[in-house]
Amino acid sequence: LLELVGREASYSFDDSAVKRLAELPALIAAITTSGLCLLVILGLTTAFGHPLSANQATVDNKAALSEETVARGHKLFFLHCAECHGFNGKGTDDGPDLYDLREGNALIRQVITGGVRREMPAFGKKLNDSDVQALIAYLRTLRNGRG
Amino acid sequence: MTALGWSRLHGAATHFPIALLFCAAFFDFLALVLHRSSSRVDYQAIGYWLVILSGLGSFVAVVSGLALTQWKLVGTGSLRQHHLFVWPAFALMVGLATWRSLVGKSPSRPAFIGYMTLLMATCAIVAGAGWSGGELLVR
Repeated sequence: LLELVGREASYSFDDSAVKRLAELPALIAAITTSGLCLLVILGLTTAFGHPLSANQATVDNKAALSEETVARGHKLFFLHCAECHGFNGKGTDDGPDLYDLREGNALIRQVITGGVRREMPAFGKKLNDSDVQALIAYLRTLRNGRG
Repeated sequence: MTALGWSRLHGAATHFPIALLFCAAFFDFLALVLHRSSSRVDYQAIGYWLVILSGLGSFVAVVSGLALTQWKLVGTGSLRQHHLFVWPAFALMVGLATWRSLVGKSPSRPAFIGYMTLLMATCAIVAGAGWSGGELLVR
């Protein structure tokens, strides 16, 4: 019986006052570390989050609102994308459906200009920045179900 | 690295800390419920290492995500929603991993109950971060 009680005691939680006292500084250290990490993140975003990306987003959003730009994007889509993604953008065996894209403009631009290895050619040399903006504007209309 | 590269790295890196955190919560919950079992110490040891690895993994996920979004702290729309989950989740994961690494595998029972409560809340917030992150990509 004594052996059983001893074994049970060794399995139970160590609730000694000393142990509890040691847990408080650990809590303070944990809160401090979390706070410091968030501060580092804030510093990184302030240092590297250049305003150009915000301007680019504004340009893209403005482009998306212009019907002329959308129409130009539609033409470019027919010329360069429809062969794989289908003339309605719904996709074919060679390329995915482009409706309801949730990716950000930066990633879409990167895919268009840089391509996807073994999956999609790069259009960076064929299309200039204005063309890519127009294409994104057209793709956004597909997202809105107007394409 | 290109935006697509960061996207792929972020996609690969985010799932590890999420899975590790959920597994840590599972094993620590077992330890709490089966506190009279001889396996409790083992469950707590597993929970201990998993939560620390999860905390370490969260740094890769966060840095790759920030690089992908061009270092936007909050952003707009769906990205903003994602970040509203991500930052509390990241702070909690780092805090929990730090506390656990300092107090060891087997804290006192009251402290462990408090830790478990916070761990469960963190799992819920991390789930929200994962869901909103998936919403950014799912078509």
